[in-house]
Amino acid sequence: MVSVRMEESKVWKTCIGMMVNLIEEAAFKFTPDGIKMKAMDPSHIALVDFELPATAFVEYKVKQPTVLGINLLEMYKIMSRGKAEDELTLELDEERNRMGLTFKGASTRRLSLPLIDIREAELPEPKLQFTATAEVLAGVIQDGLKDAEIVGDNVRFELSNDGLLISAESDKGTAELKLGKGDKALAKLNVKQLARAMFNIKYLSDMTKAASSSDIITINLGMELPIQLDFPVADGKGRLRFLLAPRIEAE
Amino acid sequence: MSELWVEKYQPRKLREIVGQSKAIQDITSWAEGWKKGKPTKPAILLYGAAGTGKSVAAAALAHEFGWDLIEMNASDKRTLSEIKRVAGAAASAGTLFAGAGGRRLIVLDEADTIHGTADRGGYRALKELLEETRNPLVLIANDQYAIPWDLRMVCVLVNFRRLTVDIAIKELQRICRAEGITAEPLALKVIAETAKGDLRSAINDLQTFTLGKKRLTVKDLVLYRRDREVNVFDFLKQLLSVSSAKDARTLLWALDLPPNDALAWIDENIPRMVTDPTDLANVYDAISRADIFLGRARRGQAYGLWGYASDLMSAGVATSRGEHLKWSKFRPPSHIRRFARTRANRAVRDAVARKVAKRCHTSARVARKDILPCLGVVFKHDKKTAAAITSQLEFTDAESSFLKAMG
Repeated sequence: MVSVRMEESKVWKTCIGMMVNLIEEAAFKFTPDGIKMKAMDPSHIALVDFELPATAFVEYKVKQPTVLGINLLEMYKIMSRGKAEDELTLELDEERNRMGLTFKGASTRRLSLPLIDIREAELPEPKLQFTATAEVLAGVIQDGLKDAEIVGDNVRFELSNDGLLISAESDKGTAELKLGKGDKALAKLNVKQLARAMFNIKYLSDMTKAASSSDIITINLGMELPIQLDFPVADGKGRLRFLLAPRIEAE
Repeated sequence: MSELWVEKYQPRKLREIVGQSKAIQDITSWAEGWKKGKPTKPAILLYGAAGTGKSVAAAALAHEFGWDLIEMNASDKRTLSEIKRVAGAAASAGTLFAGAGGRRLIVLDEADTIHGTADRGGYRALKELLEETRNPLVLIANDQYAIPWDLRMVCVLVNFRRLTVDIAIKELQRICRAEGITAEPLALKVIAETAKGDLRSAINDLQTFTLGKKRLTVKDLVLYRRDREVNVFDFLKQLLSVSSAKDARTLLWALDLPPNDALAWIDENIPRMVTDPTDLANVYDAISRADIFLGRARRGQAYGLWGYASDLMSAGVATSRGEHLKWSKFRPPSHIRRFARTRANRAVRDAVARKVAKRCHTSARVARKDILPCLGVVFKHDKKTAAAITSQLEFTDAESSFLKAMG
């Protein structure tokens, strides 16, 4: 049996909205402790790692671990129909092999979508030695990416003792965003060693655009390593983690 | 059903792939080249018949070199944007596990089917991809010539040969041992020969025939050959060597051709090889009777008559052809060749007929048979009227010169 209820549907909507640009289908694992999902995009460049514990729900009834395959695009369409403050219930209809979504607000609305058959991929856990970490306001990252987008397809992230530097450079010009120690938007900075790598802007903006600009994103970075972005979900009870492979710079 | 043996016994390492030592050597040296940066030929094209190990080699290569593997199959929407999106993003990125120092192997399976679309956008995208990529690419195709030459130029070409019967038998034996199956050597030989160098289908057949048992004998394979599609050349060859009417009929069943096409092939080839005049008369007799039945079946839509036609063209021909044969090369029915030769001409003729038919309120067939010959005379002898008709019916140059040549 799977039936979970959360106070505000926007929590789930934001999460789905952030995943849907990267992956089309996902296998959500409902366990007695919470919901987990991990998937790679078709290019194997990005990894989505999602966790939402049972404590984030007002009611959480999951007897045994169940994997539900969801077409994210379809689910996002349904989520877009809900009001942000609606109460949301996710339910498994075993007989008809569907997931039911009930929005309770001014009225009670129930929509359902068919489950799809996907194997829960066995993804190896990347073991990465990040050398720098920072906590940054999402709005700042979003701005930095939008600036960089004007200039090119790729953007460089650098974490040093001076702070965070987001920069892009091409024939079309340059863009640079600096966030130094003491700036309000930089909540925390911890640099063991200078960290720098270049990434595809499109992927980064797909990951960040659905975030609320007041969210605090935790960035983990290393020299020529993938970037790890952690978004808090449901007031930090859960998290949505993205990992993006760096670009190989021309020799 | 339990696990497929083709997957269970799939080689995980390059050197476990049988019968392709030259190909494996070429693949390895190309892959080694990537260690020193992007080589002049960033992609490798593996081509050859189905079931010879191309895809398996690509997977094993990624595994052996520790590359992250990304596969795009024909089942994927193989449009330009899809290639650009998935492969394009993958081509310039490092891996999630090793960062910018890591490499990924992008495999485009069935690369010869990419250009399903009218424009060749898929190939253009591929070529751009090869220029930009910082990761190794593998293209897989059955036919190397289905890939445009300018794309082939920037690929290392590696041929996968059809596996010999001996190698296929050895592989089948290996699987039998692992599965605890006792198989008659002859049975394995039959499977290996029928597969014609396609190891995947040989292994699939072995699994099918041993389903639920631990012994395989030739008797189990009685139905085997019949169920398999026989190509027309094999069919003709065997029709000239079978001795019983029954075998001849069985042969025809296995041939995947409509009866009138089969008859055309028989008519074109068998009589040429019969030397004795009496035999030849009998062969032609059988063929003509078969043709009569086919005609009646078509006119009266009495397809039950096909049975008689089939028996006459197979058993009838086989029993009357005699033993004194003069072998020569098989060739396709002459009408097929003639049609192919005149296709362009017929296309022009039909275009003219359609234009005329529309103007004369009649069918294209009537226009072709009754009106076109008259127009031909006009076009040959009366330039002025011809010009008027041409402008009225908007004939192209090719069409008016066709009419002129007709008259």
